[in-house]
Amino acid sequence: MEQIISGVVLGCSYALVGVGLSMIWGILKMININHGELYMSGAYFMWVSFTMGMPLVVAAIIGLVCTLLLSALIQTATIRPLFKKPGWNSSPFILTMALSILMQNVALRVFGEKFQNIPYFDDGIYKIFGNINISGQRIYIVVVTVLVVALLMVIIRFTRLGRAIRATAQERDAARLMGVNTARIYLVTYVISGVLAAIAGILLAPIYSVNPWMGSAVQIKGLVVCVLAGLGSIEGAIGAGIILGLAESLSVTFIDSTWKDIVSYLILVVILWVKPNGLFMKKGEA
Amino acid sequence: MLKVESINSFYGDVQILFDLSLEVNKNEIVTLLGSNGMGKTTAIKSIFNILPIRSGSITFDGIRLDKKKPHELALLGITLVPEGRKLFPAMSVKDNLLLGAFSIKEKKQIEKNLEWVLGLFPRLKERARQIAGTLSGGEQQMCAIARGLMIRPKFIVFDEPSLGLAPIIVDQIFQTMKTIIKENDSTVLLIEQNVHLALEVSDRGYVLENGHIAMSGPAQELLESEEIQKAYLGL
Repeated sequence: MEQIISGVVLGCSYALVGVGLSMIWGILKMININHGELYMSGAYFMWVSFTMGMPLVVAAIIGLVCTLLLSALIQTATIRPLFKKPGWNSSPFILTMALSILMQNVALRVFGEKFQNIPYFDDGIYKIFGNINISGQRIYIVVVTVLVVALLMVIIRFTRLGRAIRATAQERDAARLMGVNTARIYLVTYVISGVLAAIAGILLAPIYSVNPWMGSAVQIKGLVVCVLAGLGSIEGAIGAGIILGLAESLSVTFIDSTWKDIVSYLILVVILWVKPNGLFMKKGEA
Repeated sequence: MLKVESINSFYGDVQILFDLSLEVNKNEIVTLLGSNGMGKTTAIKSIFNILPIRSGSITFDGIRLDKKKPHELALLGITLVPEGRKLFPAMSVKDNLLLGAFSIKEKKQIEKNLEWVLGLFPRLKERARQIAGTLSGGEQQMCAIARGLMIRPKFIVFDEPSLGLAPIIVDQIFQTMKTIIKENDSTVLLIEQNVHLALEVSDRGYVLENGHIAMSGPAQELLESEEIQKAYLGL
């Protein structure tokens, strides 16, 4: 039972990162390799604010806002100009890979290789479902994830902005003809994704420590979640994230924990074999 | 209303339009004819600045369209019903229509327009919640037209509305087109391969051949001209 809870908690962080990555893939039609570093940015900006004396909650908000600005900067300064050039469709992959390496090394340079600690948001241990212990931090993770994802779904399904985003993803030229400023939609989407990654980074920093490489593993798992869900399926990414988290966590009961990551990749291979469009894609959808 | 003056358009280094000029006056229905590959779609893309022109000018009521971004045209009351419909396939009919009114800010206005449009196309009202990608060809065309009408446009461009549709559906659609234009006080530029149908419903026509205007004149004249009859009507 504890493993299931662990799995759900882990799954939440995978879902947050996966949803962001899925949005960028579905709407900007590119793979964002430096997504893990946006996750890392959230954590580092929070850590810096905290060490400067800010209360934890304020530090978290600063972490979010700084990553928001950073995402906007990255999209406007590097990704947007690239899209304007003809024939550069495969390049965002290389661009974001370069950004990833850059950001990791900047972090290394500025903060050093030491793993930095952040205290838990809540030091308490609570009992749920009878007598299962769960730390306050983990409850935070699940609750925040649920709220954020629900908010995102509401925005995408029911607001004008959400409709514009969906339209841009499905038929960009037609969307422009209706008056949608697609360049602005690309920016908004990228920033939302960055913020989602930052939230995950902030939530998990107390558990896994802040370091320049914390984004790499998350990046790969995020990609696995996207492919599992079906490329571009945002709702699918939520489900796939939880499933992946559960699978990894439960596998530890049967296999040595060092094989944990292999389980994720194995699942990926099997699903692609059996359902190549992803778990949550309807037949015939791309 | 619309004045296209000597535009030249290229795809990369390949020139498609050569000093193309045409005019559409208020409340006219003007048709642009031409076989496949003659440059009709390129002309549309140039008017909407999706493909920027290299030289010449495009003016709408005095405003330079070629200086505007594509998403700014809806604000001027210009609408395109694109070739192949280009509906948002995973969204419902209603959401597609709401997107059509994206450039309108007042909710009440959008509601009113939605009512008007659904009144014109009762079939769409029935299927308001249906996912657009699952509609039949004729219904999709209706939806695309309805979507374009959501801003009660001053100027509508129809790009090959009859393409891929059964003749009886095409007739229905052209009938509805005529009603819309009357009720809405609109001006129309019609791009069509179906020469007979297009010239019957239009006031004037232009014939596009290899990227330039080969013939132009009142629709009736064109319909009766020998060249048109030979080249396009197989007579």
